[in-house]
Amino acid sequence: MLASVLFNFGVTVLVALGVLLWYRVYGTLLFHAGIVFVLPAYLVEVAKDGLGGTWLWVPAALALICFVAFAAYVLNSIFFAEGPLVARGYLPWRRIDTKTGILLGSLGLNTAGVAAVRWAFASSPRRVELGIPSLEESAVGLGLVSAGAGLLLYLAVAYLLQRSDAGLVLRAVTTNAEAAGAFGLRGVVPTAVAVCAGGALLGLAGVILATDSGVTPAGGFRWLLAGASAMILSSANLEGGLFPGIGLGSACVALLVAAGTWIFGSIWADALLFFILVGVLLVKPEGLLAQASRR
Amino acid sequence: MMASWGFALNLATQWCIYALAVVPVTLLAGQGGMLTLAQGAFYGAGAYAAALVALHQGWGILGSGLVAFLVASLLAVVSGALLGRLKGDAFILASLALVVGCSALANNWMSLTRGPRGLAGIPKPSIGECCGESSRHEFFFYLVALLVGLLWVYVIASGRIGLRLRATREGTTFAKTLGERVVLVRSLALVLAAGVTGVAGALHAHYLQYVDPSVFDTDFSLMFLAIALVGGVDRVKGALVGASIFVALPGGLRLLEFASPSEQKDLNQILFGLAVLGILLVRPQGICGSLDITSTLATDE
Repeated sequence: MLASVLFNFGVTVLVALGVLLWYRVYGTLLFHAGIVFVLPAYLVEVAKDGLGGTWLWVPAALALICFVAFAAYVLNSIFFAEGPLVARGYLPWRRIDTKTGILLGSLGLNTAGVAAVRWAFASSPRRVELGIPSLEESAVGLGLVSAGAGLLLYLAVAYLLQRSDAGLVLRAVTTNAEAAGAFGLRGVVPTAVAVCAGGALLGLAGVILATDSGVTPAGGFRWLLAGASAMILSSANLEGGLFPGIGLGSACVALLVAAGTWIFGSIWADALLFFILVGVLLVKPEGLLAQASRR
Repeated sequence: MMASWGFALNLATQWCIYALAVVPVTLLAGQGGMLTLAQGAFYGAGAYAAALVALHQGWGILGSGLVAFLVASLLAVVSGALLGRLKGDAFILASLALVVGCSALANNWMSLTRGPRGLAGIPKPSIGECCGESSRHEFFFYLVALLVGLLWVYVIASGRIGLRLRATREGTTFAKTLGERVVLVRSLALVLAAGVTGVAGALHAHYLQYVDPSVFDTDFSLMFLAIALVGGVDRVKGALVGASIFVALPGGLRLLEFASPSEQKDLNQILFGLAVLGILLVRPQGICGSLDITSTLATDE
């Protein structure tokens, strides 16, 4: 169970970061993040076969993750209006600009995307072999790698957002675009960087998951919910929300899911995640750390 | 010629079932501003309830339809107490949770639902002599069911409940100042609408003579929502127009043999997804509608 908690934590924290970055830009949950989560894993597996098992697949995987993240940004930009740009009245072409519209549109995009991935790659689970048998056979080892990667990137992104100038600009633009504009801060570049970074984190999480249990076309949906639950639990989605709290939220979700799967079986995991989310929405819609974020 | 007539009748029957499932969405979303994805849960609950009483008790379509209505309404009573408290995006997410929970239940409650194997051998609808072997008679039966569903929704929408529901759509604070019990009105609407969707689920079970946990797939919920959005959520005729498009388009592709049967489902899903995206982008109020539901929900928050 410890290995499962560690592994889930690593994947959940990366997904939660990705979901949060997108949430800050679009103001709502984007369901097609699930596709951005699974697609790189499929492409990496194809690239690995093409490269014939050499270590070149690692840079190729990173390149593919970045490519999918950029493609997601382009696709998002075509259909959905970024909140900061709407606030500043900068919409060069007609896009979906209401939160509910974006939520529903992303649900449609996710449905079409899942079917397209299934059409292209078949629906059987895909696993990415690391090529290190001793690590692949050890559940604790994989759990440590996942948790380590998650923690490292979480700290890096938290530092960049909370402490660096670039992070300050992004937070200013996504919190109050008009005020940021008055100070000469433009929204286009920070939102593009945030969406691409969010996509890359999602893709990396998918590849990490694929090294253990493999990914399926519709499997991203479950992890998207895990990430969203972590985000809402930690109140990170609120204006001025505590970004570092997302690590705590991810740990809570990983623990709850591992315990739930252990008690009720893996087939209940999706339902369990949803009930956590709905429970939080009903009891404390502002999340558990709302008081701290207000301070 | 006979084959094409049979194919057309099949499409028409499917149209009746889908339209009946979506008509209540016009009540919930159009009148109450509750854009729900829970229709799939009520549809599936109705399908399973009808299948179980038809298989174990030998009840005909009228009995099983009534049971489906009651079971779906009961599910709405239980879930409505929770869903009615939420609004906007939280309501959409929670309604999706209901579908996922029902799917897990259908997959795991082996003794009742037989899990992923599903329930087979559900009899075709038959009420004495008027509806039996002929698929033409079967279609007319489904058409009558659709007309009854339309009448049910019309009576509710044009009555006192519809008026109170519209008041909650305009703004919960506004409705509360008028003395409306917002949660109660929304929950009541959900229950009244769920029953009709449950009956559509019962018709689905009798039509296909088989039901499995895939009726609880989020794809079904999305398809119902897509039909409503494309047609227009604030008009009953929107449900009919939307259902026509969503039945005719995959039907046409099947006729053209554009994809193999196994690929057809994926193709349909791609079409449904892109249709939602397209309509939100181009005409958010739908083909027949006048209400941009996405903006309405946003102001409701």
